Parts: sequence; structure tokens; C-alpha cells
Amino acid sequence: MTALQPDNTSDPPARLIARLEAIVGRGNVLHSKADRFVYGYDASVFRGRPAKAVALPGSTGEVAELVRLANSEGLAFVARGAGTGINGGALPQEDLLVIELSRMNRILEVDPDNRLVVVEPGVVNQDLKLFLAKRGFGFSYVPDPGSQVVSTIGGNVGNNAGGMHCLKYGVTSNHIAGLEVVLPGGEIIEVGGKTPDRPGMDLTGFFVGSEGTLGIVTRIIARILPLPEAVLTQLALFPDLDSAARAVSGIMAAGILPAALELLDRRSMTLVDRAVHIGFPDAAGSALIIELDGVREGLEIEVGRVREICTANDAVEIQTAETPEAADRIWLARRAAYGAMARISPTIYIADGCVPRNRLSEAIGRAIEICARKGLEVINLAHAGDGNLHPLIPYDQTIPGEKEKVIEAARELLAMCVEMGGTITGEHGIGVEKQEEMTLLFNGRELDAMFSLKLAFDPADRCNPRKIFPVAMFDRLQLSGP
Amino acid sequence: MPREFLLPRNRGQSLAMGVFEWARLCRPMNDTPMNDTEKEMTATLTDSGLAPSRGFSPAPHLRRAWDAAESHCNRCGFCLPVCPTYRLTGAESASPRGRLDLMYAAADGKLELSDIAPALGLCLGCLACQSACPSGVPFGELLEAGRIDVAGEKGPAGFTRFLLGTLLDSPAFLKLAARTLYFYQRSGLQKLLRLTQLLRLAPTLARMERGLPPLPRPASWRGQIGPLPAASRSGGAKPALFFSGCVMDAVFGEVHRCTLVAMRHNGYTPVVPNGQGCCGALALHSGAEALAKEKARRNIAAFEAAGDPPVVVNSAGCGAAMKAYGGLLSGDSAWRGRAERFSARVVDVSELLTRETIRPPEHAVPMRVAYDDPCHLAHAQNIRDQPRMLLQAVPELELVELPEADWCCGSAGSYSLTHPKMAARVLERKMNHIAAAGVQAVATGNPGCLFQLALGAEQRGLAIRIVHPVQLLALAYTGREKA
Amino acid sequence: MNKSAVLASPAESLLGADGVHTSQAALAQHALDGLSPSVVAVPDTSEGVAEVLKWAHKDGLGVVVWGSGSRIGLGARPSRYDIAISLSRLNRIMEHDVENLTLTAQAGVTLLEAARTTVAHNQMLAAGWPWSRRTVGGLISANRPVPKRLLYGSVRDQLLGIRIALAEKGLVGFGGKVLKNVAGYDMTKLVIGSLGSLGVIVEATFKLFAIPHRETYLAAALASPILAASLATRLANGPLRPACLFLLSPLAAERMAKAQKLAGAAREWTLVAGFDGRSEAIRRQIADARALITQAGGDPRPACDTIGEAGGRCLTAEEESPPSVLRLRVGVAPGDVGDTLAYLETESPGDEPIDAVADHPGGAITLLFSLPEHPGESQLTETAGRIERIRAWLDEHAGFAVLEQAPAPYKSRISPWGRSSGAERAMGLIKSRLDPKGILAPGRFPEMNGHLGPLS
Repeated sequence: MTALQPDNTSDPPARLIARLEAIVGRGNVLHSKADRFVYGYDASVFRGRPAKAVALPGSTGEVAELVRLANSEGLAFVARGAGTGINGGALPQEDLLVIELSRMNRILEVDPDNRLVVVEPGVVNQDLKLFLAKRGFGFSYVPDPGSQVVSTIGGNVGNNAGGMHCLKYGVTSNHIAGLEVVLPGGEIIEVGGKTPDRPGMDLTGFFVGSEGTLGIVTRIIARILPLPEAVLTQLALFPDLDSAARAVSGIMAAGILPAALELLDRRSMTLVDRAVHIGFPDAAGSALIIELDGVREGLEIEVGRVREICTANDAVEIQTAETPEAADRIWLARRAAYGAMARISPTIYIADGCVPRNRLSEAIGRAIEICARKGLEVINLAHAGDGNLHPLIPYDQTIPGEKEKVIEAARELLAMCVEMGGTITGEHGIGVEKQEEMTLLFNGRELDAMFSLKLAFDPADRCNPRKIFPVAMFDRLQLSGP
Repeated sequence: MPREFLLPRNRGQSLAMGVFEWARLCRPMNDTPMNDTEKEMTATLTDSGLAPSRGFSPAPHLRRAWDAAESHCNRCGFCLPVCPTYRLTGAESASPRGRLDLMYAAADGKLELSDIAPALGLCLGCLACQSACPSGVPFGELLEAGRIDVAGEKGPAGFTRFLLGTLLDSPAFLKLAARTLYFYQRSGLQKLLRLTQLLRLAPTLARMERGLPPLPRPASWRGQIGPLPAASRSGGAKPALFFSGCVMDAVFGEVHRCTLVAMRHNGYTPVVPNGQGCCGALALHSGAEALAKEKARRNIAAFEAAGDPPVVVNSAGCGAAMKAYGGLLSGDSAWRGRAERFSARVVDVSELLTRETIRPPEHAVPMRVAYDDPCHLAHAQNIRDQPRMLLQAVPELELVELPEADWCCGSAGSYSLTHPKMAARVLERKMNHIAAAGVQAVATGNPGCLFQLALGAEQRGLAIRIVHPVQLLALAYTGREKA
Repeated sequence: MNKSAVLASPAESLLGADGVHTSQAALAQHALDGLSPSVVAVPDTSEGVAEVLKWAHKDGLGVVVWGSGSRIGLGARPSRYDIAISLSRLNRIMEHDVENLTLTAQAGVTLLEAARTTVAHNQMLAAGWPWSRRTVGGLISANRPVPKRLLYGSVRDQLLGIRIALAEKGLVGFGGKVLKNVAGYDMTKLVIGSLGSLGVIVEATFKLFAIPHRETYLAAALASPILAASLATRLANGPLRPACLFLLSPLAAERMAKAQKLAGAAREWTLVAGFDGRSEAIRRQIADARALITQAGGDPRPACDTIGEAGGRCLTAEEESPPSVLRLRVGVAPGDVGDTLAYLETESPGDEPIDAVADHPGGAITLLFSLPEHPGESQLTETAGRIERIRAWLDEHAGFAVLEQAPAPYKSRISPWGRSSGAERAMGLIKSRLDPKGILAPGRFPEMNGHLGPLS
């Protein structure tokens, strides 16, 4: 989608390799052709260039030295976690050094008194959850992007990842208390910390979600929350999307704040059923998963209220999980959706947009229309409480023109989200995927204001270059010189 | 049925043979893929994934496997956390996703086969990625095709070919090798040699010698089964054909004996057809496709001649390979149907015995035992519960769940020779879990894993027995260890 | 001609005569640390704010933005102070989206006005007390601790979008009204705590919450701040879901008792726990909390369902302090609140009881010193030394202490910010781009201004 430069990367000079090895050690520099080649992909549908070289640092100091080396060589660099981003944010857009943070994967501290953990960026989200569970701390790290079994906390921070529990608990940013960052010039700074509300701007919040364009996060202080004593999960089936959406509004209007509110459309239910045999009745046109958590006493009443609201909105069936296993079964319907889709299609495009909650069903309806007009299939999953829709569009990239159609459809989808008062990405980020669509949301002055901050930190655009902002802004920069 | 695939890594048996000659042929590779500064990177990509087929491919097997695959890698990365080599290196090229990308690129001519060879070599072939893949990418089939292409048209040459072809098919040689090595280990010769440090003169040999697992006492198993239990005499006999294999036959005679005991105690009358031999998995793993097909045809013919009862295997690797004969011979119109029918008959011994309720054994075996999933049972055949059920049937046996039980153990054979550091790291992780479990025995149903875990236990000085699950079951039936 | 007269006419050409005040009274009312502005601009539109800034940027005039003025004392004496922008006329609610639970309000809207709008739909803005006269713009700029942050989060968790006037670039908007939005940099976070140094917030969108069925407060007397704090930690880290946990020193507890029956008459260390939610859930939580309090050797008082404005003011130390009071805002990690309070007690001269309230989960302690308004040199030296010692102690505990209010003689002796956190340089970089001439709140963040320039 973005015009990638013709790729003529050559093997890195031995001198560069030697200098990198002097920093991170011999085994931690990768530079064979195959090694460099695979850093040209992430989980997006885009392809970057092969890396010039890949370094796997083991400490903040090594990251800072790598960054300083890159600067002295006039070489751009990009930090990479598990490479599960779907916006192309980790892809090399030029001949650059990949700083792979997978080795920095230590859980440094669990601080129950302050409800915080201190971790390195390469810690896998799920590993942190399992660690907390296994040690019986009675706390959990809440953000749960779909990629949580593999994606790293560092990557989650870079992209301000969302998940299924944002309605009540917020996105990654709401769970980050402090960061240690290696700035693009190689300087190490700490922002935020264990002490809340330090004087001055909320730099922590500013760095979270900056997609690695303002520096490299090397240490993260994240919030953990005490486990709720009760979690109650319900599955409500509705004749159509509209009635489910009305139920969502009804639940919110009743003053109930569910931990999660997930919506599946009929197509996704059919696919899920085929894959994991949930047994959705034919009369169900949409499914809503409602999870409530908190103090047991109030919760049972709220579950009853949710049931009433769903019934009043024509629910054809409502199940309440009585056991954790039954709750898992309900969640399986949501979690299996991506895999169910993946199994029927060689490749899938996952769209991500956000609209005000009360316009979700309209947005999904229009997404289906947009795809139908282009002759594309689409199944819809949505974080209904957040108004965050994820149309999944299966396609076969070996058919010429197919992918282009998908990308056009995605553009129309985003324009629609903005028109409805929403945004072009709820939780997946901009990367290279949506850099041109930024103009749908921001005017020139707004883009300039943000871009001026990018340049304040990174005047030569060396830190994850040519991302987030429309390509023309970088081109202008090159004309005028940094 | 999806074409499940071979077991590339259990090559413990290779140690049991012309080990010393082979040492010359095995050039160790770096664990991290090697630097390659040959020529300009010419791949120009504006897109991820593979372009449409353009007819010619420098990697024809890969191209075919890719075209045949029903799903493709979306690069979601769900395979990363389960891949031992990725977890230990953090390198993308050491991940399943990376290997697939490289194989696609080679099939498309964007990279040379020689570029991707080190990355494919580093793969343990454990197929944990296949279990984790939400898209159902047939990683095993693609890896197999990639290795055939990397090996080239003629396949592996010289001694490797001789080894895979002739020696594995020679029961007499295998038995001789097993007995010789057993004698070497138990007679004091090994101690003497290690004490004198003579092997320091030959580092490669020394490394191999250190990697030599302690071998079990050679046991003859045919005719050592003992009288039939009364229960099965009255219950009517169910016919079953037994696959004896090559290394299992030579080295693990006791496991075979116990398998037959357990089968007979559950009402089966095992028959061992003549004319059968090595399953061919190792050949295929080394890219020797023609050889593997030859072995497959021979086994199919041998078992057809014995009728149509189930074909019972007690080696995870052999079972996985034989269940994939249908796929292996799919291009051969004369054999395809026969191969598919044969593959459908193959069952692991744990599958067979759990088809019906296991007959409760009489004798208690009061031991704390951990079960370690062989990759080629858990990932290649999706057999996880059945072996555990065998162990749970044993009175007073306490079954312990091992963390990461379905992680590869880094099984020995050529992998530990070509990638000694990586194999050692994978084994170390496994042994950490085993040591922490506080068990008296670890049960696992694959010869390579039996070798590898025995080696790990020996290196750590752990007094833990490494056994096949059927050994504990047979013990519970008969109350004694020997025939 | 004096400066007021010079600046009045361009200001009036932008805002009209009723948008500009130059009376002595108006100027005095907006005086800061002994400095008065030359004009007070009172724009009634966002565009008006942008126009004033554009002019100030062009002419290099120093600007300080005023909300309710409740925390205007925070920060150093301005290095230039030509224009005071008062947001008192930017007081319209732009949108209350009932179905989506969002409120978009101009920056000068007070929490009270917001509450009046949202209460009709049984919704609330949880960023502060509903009776507060603080403005939403001020809440964001000063990053005020949210009283019930355990349940509703802090300002950063509730703020969805902003419109802001920048010195050079004029009106821009970031964020929006959806709960999730990761397009571009999170500029809304940047203005939180920026004290009007980056631009003038003209409009903000917050997420709203349903008004809880019931709110209940439970107070308990405890023997020491350490006991009270560890009890607070236990309450916050278990299955209960308290909305707030405040610690009051005996002196503050006594004031609370006078304002509100809740704390009882005792002059003791007091923990106040608040619970929001359904009656059933609250009953259970109050019972559990009581048991925990008793177990910890505390003395639980009867629970009550409201603390009213007077009680709330005590809890968050919001009462207007007389000018003679020095307010020190101490920040520590929540787990260090008990130790910090115990330390502050020992630091009090002659074992005088300390006047402190702490928002435990926010790690925010407000310490009030009643001082002679016209101190002698020894008094000044003593007070400055005491704060210096407190800051040194806090340094070792990753804490900080900023001066929120101090009589002028003290403020000239005591740095309002204390020690650098190391992040000021990055803040300086950001400021240098959004306010290149440094006209906004000039000199109020001294360390930040000292670090302009490229990092590499």
C-alpha cells in the first residue's frame, strides 16, 4: 500500500558487524541473508525490506549503545518485539538495523503493595499473566490483545494494544505507570514511575502508542490488578445485529459496566460452529458475550438485569455460565473465530476501526455492504462495548487484484468510521498500513504538530523511519534536509 | 486425511552404528545461522507471502507442497511461543514462521536453497508449531519438501546414504552395534577411555562419545512373552500385527517384549509379519525421498500379506511416518491407494490399548512417574491422553504432569551432532523440569526420546529411570521385570 | 502610556470590549506571586483563545491561563506575564452523548456545571467531586488526583479527547469521543499536567459513568499512620473494590469531624474508605472492611451514606486555605504512604501534630503548614530547611514534593518544584516545538525551560 523502495540491500559490511558484535556479543548479531530476509515481515499483509543487520541486545545499556552506533553510522533502526503487529509498524522501510528485543524478557519485580510489576519489553504478555497466576500473587495484568500468547509487553506498549476487557479496564496505556526509554539520540530517560502523577506532562502516556518512532522502551512499570472474586459470563443470542446492539446500549444505560462485551455476527457464528461446534441455533443472527466481574453480591443481581435487558431486546436464547469451564466454552466462541476463519482462507485481512458505541450495528451493516460491493466475504467481530469493529476479510493473494480490492474496501471502511465520529484504528495502530488515512482524521496543522514532536526527538527520522505520518511528510523532509 | 509427516529427529539409532566413521562426515554448524556474504540480496518484495506460481521453481518439491497446502501462513506468530529454537535464540529465522517464509522465498526463487539450508537444519522438526497454528499450515510437509530440495536431486550422498539405506535395514548389523556399544559402556572401557582423555585428540569423536546415551541391556524379545493370561484366553483373541522397526528391534528389545505382553493381556494376539523393515523416516528427514519411498513400499507389501488387522507401533516416530505413507506415495498411482489403506491401519500401542477399557493389572507399581510427550505422538499424531491412560491404569503409580511436557527434548542423533549447543540447551530445559518434578521414572514412547532423556539423566547424575509407558504397564501385569 | 493601555486595544480588536479587562481589580485578581498581568483576556469562543495566542506568539507576550484559579499557585513565578487568559466564559457544554456516555465541554465548565447536566441522565463525570467549582480545563492542566481513582481511574484514564489552541498552529484537536483510539501520538496525554505550558485547552471530552446506586463511607481510627496505610493496602489488594481510601492525620481528622459526623470526634489517625455500587455489594464490603479493621486493631465507626461537600473538601484538602498556609503536595508510591506520613510526623518541629491528608492509591499527600504571614529570617530558614529535608528523604523513596501554595516570602526561598526527575528535558523538547517562543506559562517550569535544544 505504501510504495516500498526498490530493494537493493547488500550484505552488511564486516566492520559494521564487528562493531555490533562488540556491543551485544558475537552470537547476538544476525546477518546471514536468510536472517536478514525474515525481518522483512511482521503479521501484517505488507512486506518491508530485509534488515541490514539484526542485533539482539540484552540490556538497556546495549540498546543505547546500538542506537548511538546507528547514529554514528547514519543508519536508521527499528525496535521489534514478537513481530505480531498487523499495521506493518515493525517493517524496515529502508536499509536499517533491527533491534530485536526478544532477549530482554525478564520479569524484574513484582510489587504487590503498589500493584505494579517491572518488566523488560521482551516479556510475552501471556507469560507475565501465567507468572502472576502461578506464583499466586492474586493479581493479574489485564490487557489482553488477541495476540497475547505471543506478543510482548514492549510491543503492546508501542502499539497501545487493546483487547477484550477495555470497556471496564481500558487499553494498555491505562495500565502503564512508567517507562525507561532510549531516545533516538541514545540518551536514556525514565518517565513516570511507581509514584503516580509526577509533576509535568504525562510523558508515559505520550510514549505509549508512539509505535517505536520516538525511542525504544527498555523497561516497563505496569499495573496489576487484584483478581475479582467473581466473574460471570453470559452468552446471549439475538435474531439480528440491531437487537444485540440495542441490548448493549440497554446494559450501559442501566448503569452496568461489563468487563467485556463481545459481538459476533451470523457469518462468524457459522464459521465458529463449524470449527468448534458451539451449537448456535439457526434463529440466532448475532451473539453477544457479556462478562461481569467484581464483588459477588452485586454481580448476581446485575446478571439478572442483563438477562432482562437481553430478553427485552428479543434475545432468542441466554446462557449463563455456572462454572469456569462453561465460561471457557462461551469464550471459545469468540476466541475460535480467527482460527476458524484462518482455516477456510489462505490469507485474512483484519480491519480495525472504531465508532461511537451506539452506531456499531450500523457500521457493521455498512461494512458488510462495502465488502459485498467488492465481491468480498467478510465476517464481523466487535468489541461492542468500545464500538471497536473488526471485519475480517478473507482473500487469496495469489489471485491478481484480490488484495488491492481488500485494501480499497478497508479504506472505505475507515472513511465510514471517521464519518460516524469514530477513528481509523481502535487498537491496531497506524504503522505503514494507515499512514495515508491519517489525513481522514487529522488536518494539516494537527499532523504538523505531531510531526514536529517526532522531529524534536528524532530530527533525522532514524527511529523506525517513515511510519505513522503520510509518506509525503517524510519526502518533504528529505527535500529540505533534516 | 491430512498428510501427517515423518519424524525427523529421533536418530538415536544412528549412534548405534557406524558412529565413528560417520563422525568424519558430520561437520558441525553454528547454532545461529551462518553469515553469508556471497552476493547481493536481489529479492525485491512489495508484498508479503508468495507470488503466484510461475511454473519453474528452483525448489520443485517445496513448490508442489506449497501449491497442495490448503492454508498458508498469515505470520500471526502463534507458533513462536511453542518453538524451542525460537524460544532459546529469539531469532526470527529460528521460528516456524521464519522457516516458512524462507521456504516460500526459496520456492519462489527469491532466495537460494543454500541460503535457507542452515535455518531448516536448525529446526528440530518437533512440529509443536503445527499444533499451535490457527490456520492449520502443514509445516511438517513443507519442511519435508524443503529438506528434499535442499538435499538436491540425488539426495544425501556417500556414507549417509549407505547408512540410511543399507545399515538401517540390516538387523544383524544393528544388533552387533548395539551389543558392542553396550559392552563398551558397561565393561569399563568407556570409563577407561574417558579417564585417559585419549579422545581429546579427536574433538568431534569426543563430542559424539559424550553424547552417547547409556544403552539398555540388549534383550531378545521374540518368544519371551510368557504364558497367556487366563482372562484373554477366555475372551477370544483379537488379531494385531506388530511393527518391530530397526533400532527399536536392535536396542529396545525389552520395550518390544513389554508391548507384546501388554497387548496379550488385553486380548490381542500379536503377529510379527516377515519382510518388514525400517520405516524410512530417517531417510526422509535427510532428504532421501527415493529411499524412503522404497522402504514404505516394502513395509506396505509385507503388512498387506499378513491380512488387515491393525498395524501396531510403539515408536512415535515410526508411527507418524507410517501414518504419512499415503501422502508420501500420493504421486505414485500404483501405490497411492495401497499406501492410504496401510496408513489408516497404523495405530500407536497406546491408541490400541485404550480403544477399550484397559484390563486392570494385578500388581502395584508404587512409583512417581512423569510422562513426557514425544513430539511425534503429541504434535504429529495428536496422541496425548492415551499414553497417560496407560500409566493411570497401573495400580499405585502416581502420574506427575511435567511443565512443557509436549516440548521437544532435543533428541539425539544427527541433531545433537550438527547442532550440539542447541540440542544441549533444549535438553537442559527439559531436564530442569524433570529434575524439579522429583520423580523416579520418566515415561516416553519414542526411541530417540528414550536415548535423549537417558543421556540427560546421566549427565546430571539423576537416578531416574527412562522407560516406555508399556514397560510400566507390563510390569503391572506380570509383577516382574524380566521374561 | 502604560503597558495595559498598549495591549488593551489589540486585545479588544480580537475579543471585543467585553472580552478584555484592564481594571485594577481585574488585574489584581489575576496577580501571581506579586506579578500582575497587563490585560485579562476573557474570550467566549475557542477561536478567540486561538486569536489571542496567535497575537501573543507574534509579539512575544507572556501568557498565563486561568481556570478556577484553585491551583494557579503551582509553579514558579512567571518570567513574563503580560496576558492572563481567563476561561470563565468558555463555559458551554458542547455535547452530552447519553447513549455513549461521553461529555464534551468547554474548558471553563466546572465540575458542578457538568454534574448538573449529566445527573438528569443518571450519569456522572468521575474526574472530581460533583460539587467542585474547579474547571475541567484546570483538572487536566494540573492533573488533579481523582478522589475515586481506584474505581474510575485518574484524569488520564477518563479523558478521551481535547481541543487545544497552540501558540503557532492555532486550534487543533486530538483524540475523540471513542474509548479506543490509537491513531497518531496520544497528544491528549501530553497536556495532562502541562499547567498550560503547551497550549490552551479549550474543549475536552470525558467518558462518563453511571451514578452508582449507592455510595457509602466507612471511617476507622488507628493507632499510627503505618497501621492505617497497611490496612488501606489490604483493602485495595483483596477482593473488595473500594472507590477511595484516604488517610487523615489526627488534626485533619478533627477538622473532618467538625465538618461531618463521619470520622467521629476522635483526634486520631483515621482511614476513610469509600464504596460505590449496588446496596448488596456495599453491605457485604462494609462488613468485610469492618472485620479487617477490627483485625488490624482499628476502631470502625458507623458507616454513612454521604459525606457531603464539607466532608469531601476535608478528604481531598480542597478547602480554600488562608493565604498564610503553605501547601506541600507530596507524591510517593502508594506502598510508601504510611512510612512517609510517619516520617513527616518526626520531621515536625517540637512534635507539633501534622496537618496531612493522603489519597492512598494516588500516593498523594497534602501537607498544610500554618505559618506566620510575615516571617522573620529564622522562620524562613527553618521552614526552607524543613522542606529541603523532606525533599531529601523523598528523593530516597522515589517521591517528590511540590509547592502548591505558599505566602510570597516563602515562595522566594523555596523552589516550587524541588529536584529534577530527569524527564524535564524531554518535556522541554516538546514545549520548544509546540510553543517555540516560550510564551505560555513562561518560567513556571524552571528546569524544563533550562533544557531546551536537541537531545542528540
